[in-house]
Amino acid sequence: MKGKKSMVRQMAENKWCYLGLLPTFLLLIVFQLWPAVDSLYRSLCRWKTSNYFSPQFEGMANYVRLFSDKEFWNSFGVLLVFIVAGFIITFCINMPVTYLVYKLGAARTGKFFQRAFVIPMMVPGMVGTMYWKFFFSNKEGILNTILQYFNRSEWCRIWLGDKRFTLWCLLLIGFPFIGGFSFLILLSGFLNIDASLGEAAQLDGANALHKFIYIDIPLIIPQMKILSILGMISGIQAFQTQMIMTNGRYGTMVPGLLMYQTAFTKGNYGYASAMGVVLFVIILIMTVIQNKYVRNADA
Amino acid sequence: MRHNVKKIIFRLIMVLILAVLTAATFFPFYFMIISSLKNNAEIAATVFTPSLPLRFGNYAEAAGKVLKYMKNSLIVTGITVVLTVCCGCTSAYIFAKFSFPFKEKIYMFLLMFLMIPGTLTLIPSFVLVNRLGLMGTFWAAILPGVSTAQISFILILRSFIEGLPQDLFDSARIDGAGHLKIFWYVCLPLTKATVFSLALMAFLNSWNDFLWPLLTLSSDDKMKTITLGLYAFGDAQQVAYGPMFAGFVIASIPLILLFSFNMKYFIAGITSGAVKG
Repeated sequence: MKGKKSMVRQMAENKWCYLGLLPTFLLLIVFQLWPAVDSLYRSLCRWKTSNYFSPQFEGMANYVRLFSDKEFWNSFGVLLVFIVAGFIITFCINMPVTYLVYKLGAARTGKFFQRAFVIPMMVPGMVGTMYWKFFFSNKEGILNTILQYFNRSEWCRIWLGDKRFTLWCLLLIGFPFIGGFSFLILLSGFLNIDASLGEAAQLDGANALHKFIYIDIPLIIPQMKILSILGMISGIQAFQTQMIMTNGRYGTMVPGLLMYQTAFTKGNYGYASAMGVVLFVIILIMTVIQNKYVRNADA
Repeated sequence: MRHNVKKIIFRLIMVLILAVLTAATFFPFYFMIISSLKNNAEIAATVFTPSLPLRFGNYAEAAGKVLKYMKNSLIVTGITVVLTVCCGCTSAYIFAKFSFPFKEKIYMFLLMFLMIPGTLTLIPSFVLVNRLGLMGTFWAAILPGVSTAQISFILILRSFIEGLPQDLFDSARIDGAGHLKIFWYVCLPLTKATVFSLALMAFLNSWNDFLWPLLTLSSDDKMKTITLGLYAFGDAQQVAYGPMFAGFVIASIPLILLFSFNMKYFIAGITSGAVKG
């Protein structure tokens, strides 16, 4: 009883702390927690444009339908391609190049390339996407023009309207893929490496490649862990590029876009909410597994 | 001596590779700039080189469309960033420097929100914003944006403030400074680079957001943000590419200029270990 009383007193003494945290948590509860709980409930409802203001509870019907929805599960195959490509881009292309920039050191050339690969981050993402849409476009498109220039007009095609090629074109967006957020995170990892480790290895006769693989990569595992988790979580949800480039046609439909279209184009909000919940559960499972697995690999 | 020659050659090769990659990275910008000064026929005729006459009229045409969208984006993003920094700094400082009942429980509650993905909340948020009467106002884009952006802001800044030497805070306390003063004169100068980079990340996220403004602000042309405006360039039946690219260039310039001057802070803020495992 006494302990409880002093707890109340402690809370009263620290009322300014709670008051200071209030705006943060008010926003979180209203704009995050409430919609999240609401979507769980609404995914159990018959909720379409016709009864937009009065969703009707109907249990698991949306989920039952979803589990036999071929289009939905097929979109996960496409999603997997995008996520795997994202990992290859980050760890097989961006990481070695970041390492080269790091190796140039803090001299003028090193600083120059650091800046050069960060500046594109400041360009609105929409500008990049629209540029690539133009790059692959039909008439004046850059790719077709290049092919014509090399007398290969028979290779020209409607790149964004061809089931065999469109997915590959979307994967090429952002070529040569260097820079951005992962560049900065990886660079920070390399910069925090203790230089004496490398010097010791050099005395033992290790060459540059050995140093990269056996000393530097293991030391940036925390950064790689962050990037892989972030890449996974944001990758599962991303559909802006697909929406702008093809609107999900020609074999580029991903689950997020299907959810968006089901809700805002077809007007089946309840069914779309169920898709959102399934995506949420998948993200949750992925994060838990990844946390466990990566932590084990760490130790 | 031979060792040194080998080293220099290695370095030259590295610089060469990076130079080629940089050129490839910047090709789209080169292309957009030269194409922004052409008409459709000239773009089709000469793709990789500038052509005369330079059609600056494209810029006049594009500016009329783009500038009003940029003003809207500036309002939305500006308020979002200011609110994020205010909420973020306050909460991070409280979590880092005070102890009060249920502190860690409340913090765990905060961490839980990292697990709520935007796709889960997209549809009900749309309903919520509608019901709160925010639809078609800038607040519809601002408030949900702040609620998301502040989470990582608090996480990173809290651990950063906790890493600062406690002596600094103690001595300021002994000198009779209140917490507001301590935060302003002790904490903020030391966390400047981190706060700046976090604010910049929030800025970029908000500035680049497309889906949420599309849902909440696109019905009224006067409210459209820059991403919606740029998207609309490709929408027209007969696209005039010159003005489109001019619009892209105009939309890119302010951010590049603004942050080129602060790039040192930004890179330092992130690479000084602000983000750690």
